Amino acid sequence: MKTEDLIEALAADLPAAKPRQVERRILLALAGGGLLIVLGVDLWLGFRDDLTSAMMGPNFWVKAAYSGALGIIGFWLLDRLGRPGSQIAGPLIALATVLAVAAGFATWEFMTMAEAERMPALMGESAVECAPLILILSLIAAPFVFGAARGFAPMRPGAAGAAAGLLTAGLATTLYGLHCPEHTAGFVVVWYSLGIAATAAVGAVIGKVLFRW
Amino acid sequence: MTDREAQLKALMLRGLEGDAAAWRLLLSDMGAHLRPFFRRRLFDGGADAEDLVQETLIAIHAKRATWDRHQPFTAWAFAIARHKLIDHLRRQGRRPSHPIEEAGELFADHTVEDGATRADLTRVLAHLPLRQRRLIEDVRLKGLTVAEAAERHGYSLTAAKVSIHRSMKSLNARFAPASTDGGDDED
Repeated sequence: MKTEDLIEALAADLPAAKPRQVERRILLALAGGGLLIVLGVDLWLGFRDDLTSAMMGPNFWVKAAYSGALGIIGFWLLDRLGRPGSQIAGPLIALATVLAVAAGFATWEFMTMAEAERMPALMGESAVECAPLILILSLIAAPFVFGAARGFAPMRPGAAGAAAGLLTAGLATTLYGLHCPEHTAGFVVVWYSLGIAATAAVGAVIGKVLFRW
Repeated sequence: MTDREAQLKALMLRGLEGDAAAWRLLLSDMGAHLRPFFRRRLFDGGADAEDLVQETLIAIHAKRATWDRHQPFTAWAFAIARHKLIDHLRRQGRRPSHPIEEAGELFADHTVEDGATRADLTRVLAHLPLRQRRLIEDVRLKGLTVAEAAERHGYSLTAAKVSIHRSMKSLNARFAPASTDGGDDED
């Protein structure tokens, strides 16, 4: 095909593109995926018994703030990685800051605890199942989020996949808080983070294949 | 460079609103920039370069929503071109033979010699005495008139002309292919 003919063909098919079009689709995907995750938590895992009273206290919201912040940073990172020629220093610094603050907080909590309480606080009641559950809940929303993110044009498909995984896991983990009653910082920073990191790793593998263009 | 940025950006904005004429113009203009850009970076020039031009135009079209209106258009377009080039070279198991770092390069005028030519020129000119060499550089490379260059380096106009002539002759004698030697007339 001659290049002039190609240009003609492309110009003939030119629907208007709205600003932030890809981001809007991702937000839509997050809403849909989030709804399914809530449904999954409700039907499969069950909401925590003390949900109403927990929502009155700070712990529930601090946990949600941690996983929510990671999800937002995932969105930011994905948005940058998905646009040719953009810088990713901003979201990376934010990510490092959030992780450092959370790790610092958990360490402080750990050190100020009586020695006998430390291990039970760190392991909670659900250490083993926590990370796999986060990964599974993420997989419920992943098709929507990754599908919408295909509109981007990442130079590094693997990294963009990890960012999309971080975004999805941030959403899933925040909603997992509706079920999980664990409340120590040590538990959240270790086990929640492990589940989120695992999701990001799976996302990187998926992105490598799915985000080619 | 900045003019071109403003011009392409305006076309891009109109294209995003669905203006087919602006889009046609933008893609043709980008094609004209991309063709020499790819040709200079591929060993086999021609056919592959045109394929890459088309692939890049298609990507610009398909991914136009990923351009951030607050970012320079040229940086975005260059990143896409570079991505397509690297992808192509990777498929062929080759690495780029030229460093590709600057968006400005894609939009620079392509008559300018690239790095290799420039290095050769410097080496060749190093054979001349310094004062003669400066004169040649000013007249033949920087585009000054002989009169301007003569004044800058303290030559009379005639002396400058003679010096340039001698310089060119001595360089010719040294570097011209052997078969053409003796082709020049005597003073």
